[in-house]
Amino acid sequence: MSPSAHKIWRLIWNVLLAQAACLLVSNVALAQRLSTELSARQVEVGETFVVQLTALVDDDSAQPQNPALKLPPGIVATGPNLSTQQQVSIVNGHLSRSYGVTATWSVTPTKAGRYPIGPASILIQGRRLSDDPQSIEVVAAGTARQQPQRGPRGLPFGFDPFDPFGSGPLSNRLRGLPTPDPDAEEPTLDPSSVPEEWRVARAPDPAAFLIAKVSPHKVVVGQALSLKVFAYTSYPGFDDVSASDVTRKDFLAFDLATKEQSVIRRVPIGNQLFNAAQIRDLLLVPLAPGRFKVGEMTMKLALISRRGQEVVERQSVPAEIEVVEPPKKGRPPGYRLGDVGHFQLKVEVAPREVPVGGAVSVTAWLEGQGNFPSELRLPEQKGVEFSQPTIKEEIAPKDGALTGYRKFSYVVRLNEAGELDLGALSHPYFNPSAGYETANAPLGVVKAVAAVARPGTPEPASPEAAPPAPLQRIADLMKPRADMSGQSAIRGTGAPSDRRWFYPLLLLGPALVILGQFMGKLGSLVSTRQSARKGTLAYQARAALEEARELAKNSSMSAVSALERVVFMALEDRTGLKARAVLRGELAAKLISQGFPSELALRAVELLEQGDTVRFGKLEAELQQLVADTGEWMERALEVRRSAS
Amino acid sequence: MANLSRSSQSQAGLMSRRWLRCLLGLALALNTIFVGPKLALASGDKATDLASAGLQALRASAPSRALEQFELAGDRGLIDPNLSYNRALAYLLRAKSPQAVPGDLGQVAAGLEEALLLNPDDVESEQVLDAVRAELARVRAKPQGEAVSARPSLGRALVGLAPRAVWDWLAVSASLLLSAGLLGRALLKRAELLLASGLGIGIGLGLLALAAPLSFAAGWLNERTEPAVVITAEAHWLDAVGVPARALPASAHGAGIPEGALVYIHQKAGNLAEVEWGATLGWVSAGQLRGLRQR
Repeated sequence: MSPSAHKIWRLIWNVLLAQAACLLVSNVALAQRLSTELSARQVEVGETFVVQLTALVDDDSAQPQNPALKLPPGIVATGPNLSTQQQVSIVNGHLSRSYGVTATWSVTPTKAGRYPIGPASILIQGRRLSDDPQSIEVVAAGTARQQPQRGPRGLPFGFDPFDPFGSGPLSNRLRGLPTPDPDAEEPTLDPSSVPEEWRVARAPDPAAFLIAKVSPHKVVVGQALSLKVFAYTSYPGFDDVSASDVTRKDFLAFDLATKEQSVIRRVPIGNQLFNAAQIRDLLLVPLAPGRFKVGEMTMKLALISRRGQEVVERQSVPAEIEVVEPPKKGRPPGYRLGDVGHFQLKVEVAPREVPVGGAVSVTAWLEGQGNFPSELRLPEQKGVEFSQPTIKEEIAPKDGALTGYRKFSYVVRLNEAGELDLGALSHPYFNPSAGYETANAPLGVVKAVAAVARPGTPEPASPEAAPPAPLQRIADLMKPRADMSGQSAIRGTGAPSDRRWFYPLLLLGPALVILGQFMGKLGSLVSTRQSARKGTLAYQARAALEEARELAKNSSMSAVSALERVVFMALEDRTGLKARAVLRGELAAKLISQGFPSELALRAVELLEQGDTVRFGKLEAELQQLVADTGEWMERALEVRRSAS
Repeated sequence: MANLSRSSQSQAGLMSRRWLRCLLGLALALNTIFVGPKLALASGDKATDLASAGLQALRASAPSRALEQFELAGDRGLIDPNLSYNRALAYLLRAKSPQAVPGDLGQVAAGLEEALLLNPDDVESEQVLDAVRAELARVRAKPQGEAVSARPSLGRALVGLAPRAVWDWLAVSASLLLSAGLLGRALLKRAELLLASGLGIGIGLGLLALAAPLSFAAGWLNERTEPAVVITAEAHWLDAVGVPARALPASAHGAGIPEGALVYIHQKAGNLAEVEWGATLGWVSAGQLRGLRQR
C-alpha cells in the first residue's frame, strides 16, 4: 500500500470512528431519558410492588409507545397503566418542552429469591430503547425487614425538592389545593390511626384513584346524607388540573367545605402509603323516594414526582342510595313528605288585646336540625285570619345536618269580638331515630274588643256589597258531600276486555263456524273416497278373503266359494279378464298371454283346483291352509302391474 | 301384653292429636273466612273516620285541617268520588284564603278529575271542573296566553269517542254477527236468506275490524298510562336527564304544561315522568303531577 493510499484509508477510518462516536452519544442521550424505578428493593412473596418506566422525548419527536417489561419466571405483572406527561424547562432563557410516557406495572413475585427486573423498554422514533435492568430481593412471607424510607417523606418514590416539578406544595398552593404540612407527624403503617372514612381496603389503581363515600346508604325522603369524594395517589405530590361536578341529580346539595378538605393524610393501603385528600364534602337531601346513584366524578390529576409531573384522569365509582318514604303507620295529620329532622317551636304573640278588625303579630321560631319546612301548620277558626308569613332564617350545615332556625312572622287579623284562644302552631315531622313527632307551640288567648265608632267615621264597606271573586263563585257551586263510605263510586267498571280470554273468544265464534264448514267438507270428501274405494275389485277381493277367514273358523265349506271369488276378483282387477267365464284348463295360458306372471297364473289355477278338492272332500284341515295360501297369493297378485287391457 | 296396651294407647294419642290439628286448622280457616273481612272493614272504618273528621273541619271553615284529613284518608286506601270532591272543595277554600299555596287550584282540578274518573255521571263535578279550568286559563292568559286544555292525540281522541266497555261489547256483537252470517251461508239454501247471511258477514267483519283494535287500544291506554293533573303553576318540559329541554317536544305549544291540565303518564324514571299532554309527549318533574286514583 502506497503512503498516499494509507493516508486515504486513515482518513476514512477516522471519519467512520467519528460517526460511530456521534451515534453512541446520541443513543446515550436517548437512553439517559429513560428511567426505571422500583417501589421497593425487598419484598415478601406475594407482596405487590410497582415498576415504573419513564421515557421523555423532545417536543418535536414522536411520542414514545409500546412499553415492555422483561420478567423472569416466578414473577407476574399486570399492566402497564400508561400516563402522559409534559415537562417544561427554561435554561439560559431558552424554553424547552419534553413529552413523555410513564408506564406502570404492578408486579407480584410468587417465589423467594433475587430476581432481575427488566430491562424495561419502549419504542422511540421507531427504535426500541431499553433501560438498565433492576433487581429485587424476594423473601419469604413475614421475614421482610423494615424498608428504609427513601425520600424526604418516606414515600415509595424519591422526592427531590430542587426539581422544579417536584415542588408539590408550591404547585398545590398555586392550584389552591391542600398542601402537605411539612411539620405533620411522619406517617405510620398502622391503618387504625387513619380516620375510618379515609381508609380503603384495596387500592384499585397503584398510581392514583378517586373514591366516593356515602353515609348512610338508606334514608327517608328529606333526611340528609353525607357524600365525600377522596383522591388517593402513591406519588409524593399531586394537583388537580380539572374536575367535573359530582353527580347528585334528584338531591338538594350543600357544600360543606370542611376543614378536612385542607388536609392531606397519609393512608396505608395494603403495603403502600398513599397521599389522600378529601376533594368534595357535600350534604345531600333527597327529594323523592327511589334508588339513586351519586358521587360519580371525573378528575384530571397532575401526579408530581422528581421526574416531573404527569397528568392522569381518574373517575370515582358512584355509590347507590335507597330513599324510602317514612312509614305510613302513625303518620300525623298535616305531615308532608320531606319533613324530617328534630325541631322545637317557640312563639311570641303581641299585643294580647286589639280592637275588632285589628291584628296581632305572631312570631314563631322553628329551631333544630333537619329539613326545615317552608310553612307551619296553622290553627283555623272562624274570625281569625293568618296572613302569609314573612320568613327569615339562619340555617347552615353542621354535624352532618342542616342546623339553625327559621323564623315565621304572621299578621293575624281578628274579625270577631271577644276572647279568642288562637290555638297552636305546629310542625309534624319524622325523626329517623324516634319516629313521628310534632313540634307544638300554643298561641294563647287574645282579646278583641269592639271599637267605639267615632262620629263622622265612614262605615266600613259590607263584604256582601262587593261582587264575589271568581273563586268564591266556584266555591258557591260546591257543597260538601257527606257519603264517603267508599260505596258511591260506580261499580262494575271493569271492561270485558280485562279478561284474558276476551280477544281469543272474539275470534272463536267465526273460527268455529269456519272450522265446522271445513270439517263437513272434509268428511264428505272422505266418505266419497271411501265409497269409491269400496267399488274396486281389489277391495272386494279383500272383503271376500275376510269373509272366507270368518267362515273357515266355523269350518264352513262356503269359505271355498269365497276364496274362489278372491281369486277371480284379483285376476279381473289386474288383467281385466273375467276368469270365471274361462275354462280352467285354458285359464293359465290366457293369463300369461295377457302378461300376468306365469308363476302366479299357474298358482291361481292350482288354488282353484285345491278349492274343489277341499269342498268336495270336506277336508277341514286343508281349508285353513287354503285360506292362508289364497291370502298370500292375493297379496302378490295385487302387486302385479295392471295389464293395458 | 303391656307393650300391646302401650302401643294402643300411643295410637289413640296420635289419633287424638290428629283430630286436634284438624280442628285447629278448621277453626283457623273459618276465622279467616268470617273474621278476616270484618278486620279489613275495621281498618277501612278508620279511613272513613278521618274522612268524617275532614268533613267536619270543612263545615267549620277550616280547609287546611280538612284537606289534611282527606289526604290521610286517601293514603289509608279510601277511594271514593265524594272524598275526591270534598278534597277539591277544601283546596278551593284554601286557594281563596290568605293561606293559599301555589298549586291549590291544580289540586282542585285533580280532585274533580278523580271524582269524575270514579263516577263519570257526576255532572256537578264536571261543571265545577270546567269553571276551575276557565279560571286557571283566565289567570294564565294574562302573562302567557295559553289554554289549560290541549287537544288530545288522534289515537286517544278516537278511543275516547266511547267508553271502553262500548268498544268491547261492539266487538262481541260483531263477532256474533259474523259467526251467524257464516253459519247461515253454510246451512241456508234460500236465496234471500243467503243474501242476508252475506250482509251479516260483511257488516260483522267491518265492525270487528273497527271495534276490536279500538277496544285493544282503549285497554292498552288504560293499562299503560296513568292519568294525572299538573299541580304547579307550570310543569316545564325537561329532557330525559332532567334538565330543561333545549328543544321542546314536537308539537309543544309552550315551555311547559299549565296548572290543572290533565296529562297521561307513560313512564317514570326517578324523579321524572314521561307524560302525554294533548299530542305532545315529553318529560316533566314527577313531583309537579298528582296521579289520579282509579278503582
